[in-house]
Amino acid sequence: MKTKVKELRTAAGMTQQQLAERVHVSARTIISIEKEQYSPSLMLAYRMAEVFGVTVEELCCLRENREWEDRKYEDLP
Amino acid sequence: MKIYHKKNFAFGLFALFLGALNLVRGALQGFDWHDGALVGPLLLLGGAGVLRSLSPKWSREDKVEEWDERNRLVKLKSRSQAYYISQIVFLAAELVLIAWGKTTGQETLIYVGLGLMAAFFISLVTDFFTWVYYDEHT
Repeated sequence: MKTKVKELRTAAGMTQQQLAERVHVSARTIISIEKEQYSPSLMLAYRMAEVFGVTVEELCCLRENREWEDRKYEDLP
Repeated sequence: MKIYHKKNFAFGLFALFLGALNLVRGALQGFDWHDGALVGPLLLLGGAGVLRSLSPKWSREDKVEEWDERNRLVKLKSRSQAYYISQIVFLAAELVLIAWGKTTGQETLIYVGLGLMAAFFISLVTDFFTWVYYDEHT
């Protein structure tokens, strides 16, 4: 899933390790989220959104991701 | 002295105990390189486990790694994939062994194949009941 984690983390001047410590996960999890290999749970997304002072909707690009998913379902036979 | 990570502490003690046991056995019956290859890692792992469990900083790191949602997912996925691959290997091996036993007349191969078939059947039954359980509780 596409997220704004990398963008917001860089803007906040934080390292992946620092963000990981703030939200109680491993640095590998943050790396995977930034590489769009792993979708965070609702609670982790909320924790990160709180750290960056944004909404979960904004952090996780929910509108954009929903539109992408909708297109996938529209392509179903 | 406080234990911050009981599981690591127990694992560390167990590994140290096994290492010490092998050390004593080696001292009584004579050492060879197999003993060193076993005792060394056991004592190292055990010592590291006990030390980490006594440190608040390292214990926190270990718990965060243990509770990490991605690590849990990776563990679940890898175990489930390993189980699926094992099922295929069991099925293929039992068919090959039974066919081989039939053509060569070696009864042992047939019995080994039947044993694998029983293991495969048990895994299918377990698979079904765990699926029912998690379908109900998830």
